[in-house]
Amino acid sequence: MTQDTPQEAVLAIRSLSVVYVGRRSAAQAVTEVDLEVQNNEILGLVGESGCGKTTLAVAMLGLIEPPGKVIGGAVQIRTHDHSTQDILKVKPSLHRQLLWKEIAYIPQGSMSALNPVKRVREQLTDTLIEHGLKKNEALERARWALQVVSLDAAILERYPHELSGGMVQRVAIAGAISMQPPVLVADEPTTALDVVTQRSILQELVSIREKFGSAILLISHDMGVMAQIADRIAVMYAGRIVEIGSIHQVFASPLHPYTKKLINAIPNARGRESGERLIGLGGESPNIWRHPPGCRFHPRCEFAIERCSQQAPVFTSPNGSSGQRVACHLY
Amino acid sequence: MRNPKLLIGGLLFLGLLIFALAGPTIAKSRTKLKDPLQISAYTPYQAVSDEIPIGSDQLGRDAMAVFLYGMRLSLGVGFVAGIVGTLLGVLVGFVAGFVGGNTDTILRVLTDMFLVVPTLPLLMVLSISVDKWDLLTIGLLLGLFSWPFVARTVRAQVFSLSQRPFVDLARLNNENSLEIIVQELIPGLLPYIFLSVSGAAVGAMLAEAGLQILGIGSGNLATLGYLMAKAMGAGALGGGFAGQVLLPAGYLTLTFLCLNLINMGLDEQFNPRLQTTAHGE
Amino acid sequence: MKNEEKPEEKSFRSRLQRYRPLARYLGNRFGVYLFTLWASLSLAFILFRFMPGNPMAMSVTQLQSNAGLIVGADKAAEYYREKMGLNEPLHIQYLKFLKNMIFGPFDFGHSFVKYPTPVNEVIGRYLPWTLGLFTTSVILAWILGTAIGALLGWMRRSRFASWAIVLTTLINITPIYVLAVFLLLGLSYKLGWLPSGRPYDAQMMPSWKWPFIKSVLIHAILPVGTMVLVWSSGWILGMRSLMVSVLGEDYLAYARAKGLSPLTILKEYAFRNALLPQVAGLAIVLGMSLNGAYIIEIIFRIPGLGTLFANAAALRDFNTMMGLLVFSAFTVLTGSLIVDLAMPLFDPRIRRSDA
Repeated sequence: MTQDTPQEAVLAIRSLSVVYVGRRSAAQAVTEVDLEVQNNEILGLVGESGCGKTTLAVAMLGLIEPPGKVIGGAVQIRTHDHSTQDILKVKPSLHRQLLWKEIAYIPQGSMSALNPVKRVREQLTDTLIEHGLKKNEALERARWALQVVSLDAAILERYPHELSGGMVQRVAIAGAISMQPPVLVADEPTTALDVVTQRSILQELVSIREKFGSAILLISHDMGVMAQIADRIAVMYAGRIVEIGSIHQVFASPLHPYTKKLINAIPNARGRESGERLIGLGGESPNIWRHPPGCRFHPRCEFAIERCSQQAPVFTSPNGSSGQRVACHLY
Repeated sequence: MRNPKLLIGGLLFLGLLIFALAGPTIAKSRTKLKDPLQISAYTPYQAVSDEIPIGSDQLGRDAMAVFLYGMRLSLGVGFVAGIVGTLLGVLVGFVAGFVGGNTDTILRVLTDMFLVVPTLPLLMVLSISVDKWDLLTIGLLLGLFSWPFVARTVRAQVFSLSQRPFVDLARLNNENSLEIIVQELIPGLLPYIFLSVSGAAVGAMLAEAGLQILGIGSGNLATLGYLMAKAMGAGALGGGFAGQVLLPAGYLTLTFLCLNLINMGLDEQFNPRLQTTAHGE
Repeated sequence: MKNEEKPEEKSFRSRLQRYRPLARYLGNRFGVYLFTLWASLSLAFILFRFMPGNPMAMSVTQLQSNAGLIVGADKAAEYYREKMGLNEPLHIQYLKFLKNMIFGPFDFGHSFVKYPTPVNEVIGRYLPWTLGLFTTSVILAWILGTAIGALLGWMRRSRFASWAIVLTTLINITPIYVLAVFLLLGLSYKLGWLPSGRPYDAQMMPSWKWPFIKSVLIHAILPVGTMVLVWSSGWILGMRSLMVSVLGEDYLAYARAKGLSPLTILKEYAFRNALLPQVAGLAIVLGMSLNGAYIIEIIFRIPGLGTLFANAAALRDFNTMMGLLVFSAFTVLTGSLIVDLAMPLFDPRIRRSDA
């Protein structure tokens, strides 16, 4: 995939910033994030917990609630009818229609993702009906969606507590694809699952991309998950994107010191033969209420130079126009 | 102690307590009678005057003096019952939560039973057989019925505390159960024990006044509830003696308000779940 | 043929299997109910036989001490002693007592004061007032409190909601009799808007005619209003905090991400889930509510069980007191059993599970 013009991206996040408003100060949860996702592409968003991944996901759905606040930026999606809408600016009724129809969210598949007192059928059809389907159409569509994710239609009559974690995750995916939205946002879809189920869920996401050509934004803290299915990967640290590139570029030649550390922290990724020990990240996790000045990573960075603590780095493409970009003073 | 609820509640309660303790002295200072509570000093339910600002009671006593003496007694009943109820509740809750198993099941059914069954009828039956109606007896009696709530909270706390790793660690170190209890569990429980004393005290003071209104009680222990109940029974509300009802009612309500504020404050201070949300994370 | 039937039968059985948790739950609840009922009966028996002063024996002694003064009191005492089986060994007395409770049912013998009317009949006369006012108030308070609490929880960030919560907390910690007194004083004595001090107009005779019913209803406004005000405040506070915690659940975030309308989210996702503990709570507070209802009856002079209790206590009518004690426990226990049995209707997790 070459550099696309902005118009062709199916989801484009432009300079999005989110803060949490506290009593005395505001916490910068997401700062000036730019991301584009193309049709038929899986973009991985990776970072440790607390780095703002989930806030970013909620923000791009236009669902930030107080004390959170979007202080700038836009989230443009290209809809089925080829118009472009900014999720953050549309009126509430249209916003609700865009969700699920144009951009659908796949939550973490724990038991608490589904309403415990409603059958699966009700939880799928209520949304479909509110998005304009007739009752029997909705039921038909729900059946079809379950079939796509290889679940039996009998699941429709079950309650969430009667499903396994993997099944809940599949139900969530079925719901998300039921209106074939161009964009799917999957927030840690494999975190609550065992390794075998994890793998089958990831395959499910890949096959959905193949069937429907959806763009998938996959959020995870797990580099291993990224390596398995992502086409491109964006690394987030303390509310900012610090590096972005194709999966091969990032794994083969990570540029940002933080990305390097993340890759070194994957068990068996590199160190197995050479007998290297697993390297932890070291240092404290970032505190969104008190970001350090300059590059937010510099207190934990072993290559930090004086400039790092004074000036925030901007994106550069040190390897030419290959698409890999990094925000670091070292390049 | 930066918690405003705890501070305001505590200070206000301190004020009420001092007022109650000083009550008899105040009563003595504002009358010419040798004994401010002298019976038949006035005619029963004599009209309000400067001398008797809320009238006289059914025995011809200055109702204001009865009120001033009564505060102490009401608080005393609550205090005794609070201590008794808390001791019982902590014991039951502790044993249930710490021992677990069948003991826990039995104690839980028992606790739930006492929670569900209406206690006022039971109290009425018990209290008519009390021949010496004094502060200690009544406090004890009411305390016997205020333990279930305490037991429930303490059980839940002990149970969750005993699931924590540090208790396992202590067990692995071969410390005996009692040592674990004393060293590891009691400190974590202290705020809940404070909470339950005032909770049980409020319950007991409510119940005491309730019993008085139901006509059970004696002039031996002229609590605020007694003053209120007798006045109400005599039609004080319509008859110009509303003060005899409103004054004790106001004092009791204010006391409950303070204790509740203290409880809420303690809860905010020590409940870790509330703490994290208070910081807005 | 057989091969075709088998899977059919198996699926039926497995469908039955799925409801085993329900059966276990219902069995459990009913078992606890019977046990608690038995325990309350036994407690009543023990109380009246063993507590300091032994009221059963005392009442006989009371009669005996009057022997010289009242003609026939001696005989009456002996009659009671025999009638109440006080001459028999204790375990026989206990068994007889249980028999009277179960097969009587609830046969407590005669009222001492209204001799020879059976206690049952006396209670029956006072019961409708308590049942009517108490049940109405409990249900009204629950419905109102749950609805208002849900709305306050939903608009948890509004200024109005936080002030409403402060006010509700104030009402909630005010003792029920204090509130009754204030309302009585304000609305009845000072403003004269509502009648008080009696259950219906003094000139009327009880009947099922409209003027009488109307009079009862008007007189019931204050007592019922007091109970509803106090009790609903508790439900409001409970429901609000339940709503706030449910609104933080993952499935609510998901519901919003699905683009559901706020009304659907409020009704089907937040309210439905917050409702469960509210229903369960109803089973627990009935007893405490009955305590309050008895006090309210005295204050508003309503001839219900609370008034009967107070009168019986004043006159040491032990049979009636015992009847009231058992009957209060029975009413409350049965009420909470009904609530508990209704729980599976609200919570599918109790109803069934995948075995």
